[in-house]
Amino acid sequence: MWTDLFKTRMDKDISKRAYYMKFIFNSHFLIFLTIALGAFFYSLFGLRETLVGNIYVDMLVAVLIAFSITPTYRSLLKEADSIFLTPVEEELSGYFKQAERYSLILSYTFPVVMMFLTFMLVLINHSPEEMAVFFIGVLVAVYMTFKIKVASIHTLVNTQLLMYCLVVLNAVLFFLSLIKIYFVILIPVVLFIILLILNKKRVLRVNWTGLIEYEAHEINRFNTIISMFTNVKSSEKKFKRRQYLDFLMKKHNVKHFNEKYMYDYMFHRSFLRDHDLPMIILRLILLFGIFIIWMSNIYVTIIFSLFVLYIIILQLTQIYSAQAYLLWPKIWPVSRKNIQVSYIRYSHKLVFILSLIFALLFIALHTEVFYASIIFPIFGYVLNTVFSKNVYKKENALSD
Amino acid sequence: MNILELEHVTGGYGKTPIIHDVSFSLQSNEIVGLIGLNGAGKSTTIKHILGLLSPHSGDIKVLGKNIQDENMRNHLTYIPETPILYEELTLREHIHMTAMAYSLTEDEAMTRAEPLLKLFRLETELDKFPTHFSKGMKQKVMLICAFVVEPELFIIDEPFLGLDPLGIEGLIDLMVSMRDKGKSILMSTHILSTAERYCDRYIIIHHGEKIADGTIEELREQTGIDGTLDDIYLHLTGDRDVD
Repeated sequence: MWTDLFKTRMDKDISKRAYYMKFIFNSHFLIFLTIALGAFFYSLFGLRETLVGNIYVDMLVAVLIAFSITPTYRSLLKEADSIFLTPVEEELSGYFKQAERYSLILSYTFPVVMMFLTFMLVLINHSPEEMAVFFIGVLVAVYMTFKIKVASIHTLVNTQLLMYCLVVLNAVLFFLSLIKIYFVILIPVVLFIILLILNKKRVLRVNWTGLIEYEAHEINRFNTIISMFTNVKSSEKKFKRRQYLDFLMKKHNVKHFNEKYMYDYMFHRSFLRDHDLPMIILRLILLFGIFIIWMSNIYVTIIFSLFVLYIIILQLTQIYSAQAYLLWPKIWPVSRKNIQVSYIRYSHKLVFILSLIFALLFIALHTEVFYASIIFPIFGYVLNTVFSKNVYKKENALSD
Repeated sequence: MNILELEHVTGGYGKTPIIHDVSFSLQSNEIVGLIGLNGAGKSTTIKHILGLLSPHSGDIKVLGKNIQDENMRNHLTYIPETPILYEELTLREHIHMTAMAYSLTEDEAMTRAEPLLKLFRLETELDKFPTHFSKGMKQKVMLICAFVVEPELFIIDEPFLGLDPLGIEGLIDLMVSMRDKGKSILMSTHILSTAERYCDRYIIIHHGEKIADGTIEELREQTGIDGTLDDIYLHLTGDRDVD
């Protein structure tokens, strides 16, 4: 009976994933991925000979793979379960076994993708046999890290902190394995010892509160990732005060203290105080910036910069959607058209500033063709206009 | 002059009517209690008045003009039963947004807000996020934003829910002072004893229909019950449920 309950919830979760994957892996994105992967592997192939014997390549692989091992545990528990399922806690072993199986499969996704992306780097300094042994070690590490994470939820140990420590530990273990492949044996041994210690620290048979909170956290994490590409239904926007950014919100221009500019005021704060958005944008710029500088290829710079702008512009529409469906704009004596006008005005400003960053990066890397950097603000402007119109259309269709 | 007028309004969500042929009006200088059981149709009536729902038939007018006219919304403010706040705005910024929406200057809004902040003991919380406040404090933020505007018509849904006794007293004083300034207040409430002390008139809704409308004396006359508002209300709704 309880395994059926999990199966029903799992089917729902799978359909939710499938629904959003359709939006993420749309034709534009697949074309981008194909070109990007082609450019990436082509550049790596070219770099192979110059990188032979370079120890930093192994270090990079170890760090990248270690970062990709952040297992997810989807118990699919809901708040009401802490009331309705606790009386049958002893009968729920089937439910939790299924949850572990499902979560383990999900946890393998990112590491496997990362292994695919880094196999060429591994082959620079290692034979195919060594690579195979190393990757088996990585698969074992994913399994053990997953078990450690699950065990930690039922203890008083801070799971998130433990996971950060494991990223560092895994990176060290992978690096050692790449230096001397015999060290691969350390992966199961060290991680098993940690698992044993955690199992001894278990304080609850089932940590209902912890599991339910953690499930909510995982749903939120999933929604955050998906919202990078598309609007997520029922995704609750979270905000936080960043006092170091308060100086950017000090005073609203007196001339603009009116109904025409009130949503500019709002969007500015929504953006700067969004829980994830500014940090996601910063991370994207940093990661892709480093990658672009590393590759120093004109086509890679253009393709990746445009792609990052595409993701950022897509993400910005969230702040519009969050506004448009709220109660107050329907009550206030202000035309709903003002929300759209303000959004386009504000987002164009923001996109222009962000596209300038990429334009400057491009000019710094490819000074001889500096004029080509004009593509970034133009692309940003056009794409932002197109996306905004789509959001308005959707809003009109949904408004009663 | 009628501040608010409902003429034979029938409406609800989608095609299913929840309120049927409801007619009433509010004049200036009145506090009117909209009274009914859970699910009687009070909130639906309020949503129609706010223009959030379109009536299937009938008219709703504010100061003689149709509520769908955007400019008419300048003349009313609304305080919902559950506080609805912007997570990303501080209390000061909520006041700013309200001020901009109702064409007040920043100074004007803050001058009006000052006594309200004192009244509700929130003057030290201006630069904090109200979403981190207690439910009662959040409700006070809603009240401050509504009373800063000083419109002709206040629509308040269950105003006393979540407020502490000082908050309730403060709100009542505010409502009375606004009434004395010529404003109208329509409030839906379950707390009949409080309503009886301050409302000038009552509109009783039951199963989506208006079943009584008048001052306490008029209701006593209509029902023949010489009791409190509670007694009259129970008599009116109880009899109909038995029928």
